[in-house]
Amino acid sequence: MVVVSNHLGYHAIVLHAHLPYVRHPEYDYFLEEHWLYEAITETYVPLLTIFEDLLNQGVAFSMTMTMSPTLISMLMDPLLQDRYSVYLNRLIELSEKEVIRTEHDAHLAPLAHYYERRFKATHVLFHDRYQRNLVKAFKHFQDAGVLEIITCGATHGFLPLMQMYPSAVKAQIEVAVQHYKSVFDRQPHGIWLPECGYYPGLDRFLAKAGLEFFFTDTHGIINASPRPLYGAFAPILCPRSGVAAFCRDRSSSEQVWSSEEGYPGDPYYREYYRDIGYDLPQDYIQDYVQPDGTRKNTGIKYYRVTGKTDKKKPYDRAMAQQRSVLHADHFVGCRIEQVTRLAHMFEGKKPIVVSPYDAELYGHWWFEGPDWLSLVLRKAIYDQDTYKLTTPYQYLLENPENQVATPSASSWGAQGYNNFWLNPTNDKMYRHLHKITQKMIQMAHLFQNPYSLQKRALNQAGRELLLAQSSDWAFIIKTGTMVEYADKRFKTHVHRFNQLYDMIMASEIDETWLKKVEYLDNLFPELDYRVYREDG
Amino acid sequence: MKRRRKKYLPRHARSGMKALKKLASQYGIKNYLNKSPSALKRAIHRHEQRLRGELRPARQIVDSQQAAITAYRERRLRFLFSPSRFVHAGTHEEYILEKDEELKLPLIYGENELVAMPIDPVHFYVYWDFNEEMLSRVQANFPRVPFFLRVYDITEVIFDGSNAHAFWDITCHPLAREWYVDTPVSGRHVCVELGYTLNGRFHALLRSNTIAIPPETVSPVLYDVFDTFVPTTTPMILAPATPISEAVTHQVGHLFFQPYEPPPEPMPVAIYTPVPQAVPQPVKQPHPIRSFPMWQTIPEKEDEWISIPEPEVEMKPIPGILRRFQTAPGEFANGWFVWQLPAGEETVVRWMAQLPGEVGPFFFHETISTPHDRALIVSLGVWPWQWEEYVPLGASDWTIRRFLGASLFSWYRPGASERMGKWRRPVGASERMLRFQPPGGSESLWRFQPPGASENLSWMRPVGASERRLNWSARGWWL
Repeated sequence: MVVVSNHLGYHAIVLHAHLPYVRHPEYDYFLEEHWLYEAITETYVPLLTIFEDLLNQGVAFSMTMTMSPTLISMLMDPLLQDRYSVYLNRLIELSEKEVIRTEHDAHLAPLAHYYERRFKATHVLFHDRYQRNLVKAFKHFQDAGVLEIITCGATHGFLPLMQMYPSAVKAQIEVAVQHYKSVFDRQPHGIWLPECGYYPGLDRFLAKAGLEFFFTDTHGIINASPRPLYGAFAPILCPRSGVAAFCRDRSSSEQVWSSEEGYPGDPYYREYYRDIGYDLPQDYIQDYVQPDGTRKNTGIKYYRVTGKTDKKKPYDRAMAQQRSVLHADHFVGCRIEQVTRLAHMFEGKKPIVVSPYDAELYGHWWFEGPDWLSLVLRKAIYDQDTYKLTTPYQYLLENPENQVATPSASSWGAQGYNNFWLNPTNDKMYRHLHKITQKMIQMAHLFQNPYSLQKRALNQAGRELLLAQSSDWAFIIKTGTMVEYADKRFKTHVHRFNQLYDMIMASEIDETWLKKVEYLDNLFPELDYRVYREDG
Repeated sequence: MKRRRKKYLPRHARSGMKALKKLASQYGIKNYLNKSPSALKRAIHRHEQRLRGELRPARQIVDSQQAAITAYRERRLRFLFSPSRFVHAGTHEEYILEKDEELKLPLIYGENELVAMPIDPVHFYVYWDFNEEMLSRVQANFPRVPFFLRVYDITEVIFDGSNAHAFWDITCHPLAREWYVDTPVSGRHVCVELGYTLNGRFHALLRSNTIAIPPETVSPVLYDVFDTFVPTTTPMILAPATPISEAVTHQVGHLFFQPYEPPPEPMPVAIYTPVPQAVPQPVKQPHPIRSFPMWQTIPEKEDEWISIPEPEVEMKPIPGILRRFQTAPGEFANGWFVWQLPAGEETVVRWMAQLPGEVGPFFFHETISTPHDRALIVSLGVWPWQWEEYVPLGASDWTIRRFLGASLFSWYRPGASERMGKWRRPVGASERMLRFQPPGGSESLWRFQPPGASENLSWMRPVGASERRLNWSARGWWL
């Protein structure tokens, strides 16, 4: 596409895709693994579909996506791919049963047919087109130059609460970068800090790992010292390390995220909380919900939001698509107005509006999200020339002159700082987490030339530490959704680490137990425990 | 229901709530203390029927429901007691209940440590632990001696125990092992020490790591430095180890197999030393709540102060660190008190001068000394009355906010609103103490007005003031 240089500013859309590492080979069926299966069915495959449509039609869009190493590992894991096939087959079976059940219902019959077609298409795409490897599909778009994939923390550990152990922070970043390099065959340009958690001094680890930009929440740049001239609409360079920091634009985020004023709350969009897994009688649905009879989401939903009422009306696909066209138009219009206003305020400097979202929002929580996104990208390229879609790295290459300032410590959690991960519900975890971090650093320095069994045990201890450091456990305990599971996961990894530590220090490594733990927690197979050393 | 005769109950329980309650508690009936006598009788009767096996079900179970109930029960039992968990499909409930690993995390690690973790600009979290020797020291001193978490502001210093910019103490229980601390400074680096105060000296037991408290608002520093972003060169991924052919390698190998070079050091960024601008001075505004009584306005400039003649009451030297400011003749005199603050700096408080001289020693409960502002929480006593007051020594936003917060939200601290700005008797004052008046106290102290008020001294009350009571609460008669 011809580079049109009369645009006044830029817009960068960033999708953050992350799931905690849930893989239980010792169970046939595990409820939390369904987070991954639902995400694949409702988010990742639809996103790949829209990217492919855009590319086939010659639309040269530009977008950024974050894929966390745990998500990539789960998507590339053969066991989980097999289990996903099983899940998808059961879903297709259910949709066929639904077609038969609703054949006399004028409202629901077309929807049942729609879901049946959709799940069968997903099956074909997953198996034949993408060969069960979705990461390779995303990589294809990155190689085509339309999608920039950046990395995240290794196990999404919340870095500001680890700041007293620089080796742990360095390990989270370096393991992520190494894993990205082994999967995507190139150096990542930037990183999405877990939960956008930044503290001053973190940028030097990013610079050492070769990363060139990261993201913070709005007040991370607004409260930067000295005060940034261009506020939230231009990146700042951190002093001494030169890493650039971008921040989230609140108005574009709230247009999509807000439950009251956002697009997903429109009355014609699909309602998330009316799943047939909860509505239909037990004897019909029992094979498609949990084996013990507890109900769960299946993915087939027939009703639309309708408003703040319990009486939901049936979902109309055509109306929803019309609404998403209107909303895409509105969004692009708002961005045009915003970029024009900002460009006139900044004399000479081109503003960039960064809109980061969770990838799960598009498809899983908001069913019409991928359609809306595809429309926004098309409208941004063809229907206007005020702003240009870009990625943060492209912006830095085109506008290299930026202000030097230190961003403020912040995160994008509730209340903007560390409250969500450190409060009376989950503060007891950190004592143990810091203790095992200390022990890991001690072991990394102590064992300079370990023999093979010791090295395996040391690497496994590193894996257990990384898994225990995941911020998802503290997050789940605070939100209260699956508290026992997160608690048990955390305690399991700490316990396994302590066992490994005792075995290594006593030089009596039980190989059978080590094999069992390696089978159960097989994240990052090429992890080297020496990342925890302080010098290099 | 037709009323039945009492003969269906055994004789010992036929009468009285006491017997009924005893029987109900024996039978394990729920909520038996709050039930009426008839409800208790009904419950006891129902329980006895149940024991005899005569109870009929309340609702009719339909056949189809019965089949579903049985099927569910069967499935549930199979799920719970199935021999191998690989036979049936388990859920995460089983994972949570599995006990093959002893997942008990230790409560205490038994090593001396004090770790601080920032939460947000106004809070941080501290946890600590003691080893046996330190624990015995703590238990020897506590609770005889108060334990504090002393928080130091150590921005841009290498802390050696004494060179902090400011510090403040927070009383804590040393065996609690964790604490949520409110911090009055933001955008600074902070460190915590746990210790106790003995004989006026602070003995530190543990010192924590340094944490950076995030800034609360935009930075006051306006200093624009720009620099150019230089992309780091992406190193080529290593080519496969086996070359295509040796001849090619020999001739043009260097074109195909580029060795891995680590990325060069990032370009030196312009050396940036922050030049702090002077913090903008706060504009002097009339205090919204602490408005002085109308007849006692504080004039802006010094020459507006009228010279007040020397009172006839002899001003006794006030013990402690208070001393009177000696002025040169011709300048304004009388009533400027100067405090010797712990930091060694002096400041002047004007309004204290309006108080009569017979007030007792000033007790400084809390001294807040920060680079931004200073305030005192002063408690002064005219036995047996006591007055507690916040004295903002500066007038910045922070002090005023603290002051406002203390006054507006004093309801939150138990007893604070009673304490603030009111004359009250100290806790220890009892009828017995009245017989032993402290030196300097006299009968006139029992009255509401301080001594000298009713003696018509012109310097005590301005012209025009009536005989009505003085309002020392500074809150207005309507509040």
